[in-house]
Amino acid sequence: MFENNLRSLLDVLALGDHADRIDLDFQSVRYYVPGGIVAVVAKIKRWQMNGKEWRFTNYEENENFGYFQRMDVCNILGLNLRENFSRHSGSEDFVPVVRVPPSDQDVGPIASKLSACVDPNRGDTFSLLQFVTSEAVLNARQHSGGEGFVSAQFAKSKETARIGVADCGIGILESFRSNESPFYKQGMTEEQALLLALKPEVSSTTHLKTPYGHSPNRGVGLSMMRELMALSLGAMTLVSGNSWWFQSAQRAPMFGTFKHGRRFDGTVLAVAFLRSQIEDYFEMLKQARLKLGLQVPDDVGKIFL
Amino acid sequence: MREHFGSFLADGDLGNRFRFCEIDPLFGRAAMLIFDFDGIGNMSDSFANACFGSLAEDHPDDILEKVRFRNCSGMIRQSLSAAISSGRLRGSKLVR
Repeated sequence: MFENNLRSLLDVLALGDHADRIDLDFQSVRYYVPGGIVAVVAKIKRWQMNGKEWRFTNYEENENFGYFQRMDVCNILGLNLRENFSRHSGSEDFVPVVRVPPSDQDVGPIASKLSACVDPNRGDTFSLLQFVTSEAVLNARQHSGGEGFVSAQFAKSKETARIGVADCGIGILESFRSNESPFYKQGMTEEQALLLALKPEVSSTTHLKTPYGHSPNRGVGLSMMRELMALSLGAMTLVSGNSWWFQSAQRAPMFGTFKHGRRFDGTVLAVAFLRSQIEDYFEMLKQARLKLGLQVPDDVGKIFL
Repeated sequence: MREHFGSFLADGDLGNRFRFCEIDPLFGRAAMLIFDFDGIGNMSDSFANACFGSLAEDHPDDILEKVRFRNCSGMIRQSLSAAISSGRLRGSKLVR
């Protein structure tokens, strides 16, 4: 499962929504990406909320299951399975699944930890991933209304950095609707809401007043992620409710809805970057903002000492 | 800034709270507010907009007279400029 076919995994997982007991069969699993892992975690959390019985099967024969366990998926799901490996700290190519922190806890340290696994030298790739991860985690926290999970991975062979964030919350359309966003229109579909959320300066909460006055949200995170992904020739998938969106590099995006009433209750965001294409983070930010019309003329130069 | 948030200014929720709790009370009283970005390596758009974009929206004219930023890298300067310029634009529209 990769960003381009993540929706196939979610399509299959949705079959469990209509069952009382669910077996997740690991026999044929060959590779795990963060978007897939956190989506499975969020889905199981939703099943748990709905009182469904679920279990993992054929995992003992699967030689890659140890990676799944190293990602701390079993711990986060409260599953106590025997581990046929020894844990050691300091791995540089993945970060175990962690919960999206509450609003009084800084997302910065989590974003930095995930980014350091990809770029321990803390260069431009590290900075880019800090930016993207923090925006992705904030999105989940500010909009989902439910539990969220995040993970990162670096695939050395293809120099690909991956981030996955998933939650079992209310989804994008419901966020627009329940917050009485001026962007919400009666009869809006989940697909329309998902496409709207990807536009710059669109957010379901920008109009809200908070105990601290303004909303902290200007709705630029997802659109900036999309442009930065395109500049690095990576890939990005966004799934919410019955709808999905996918873009690879600078090609035209694809989007659609799941068939047969299948859905993902919550939101999944998976982003991949090619490290070889990340040379100048500063320049990438500038280009992304220009493309989105966010780079207003610098008429405030005198405020810098 | 580093003392408050570490080297990465990431969290828009915390940036919003910092503006409201720490900056706003001083803004009316102080002749000048200087923010030192020494040791800050990165900043998200969420933080820049929530903290300084919103401040500019509330004080579109005063912010240029009363606020200064020190020790900003090129990247931080660009992010702050974008957040403050767009905040001033929103604030000016509200005033009109």
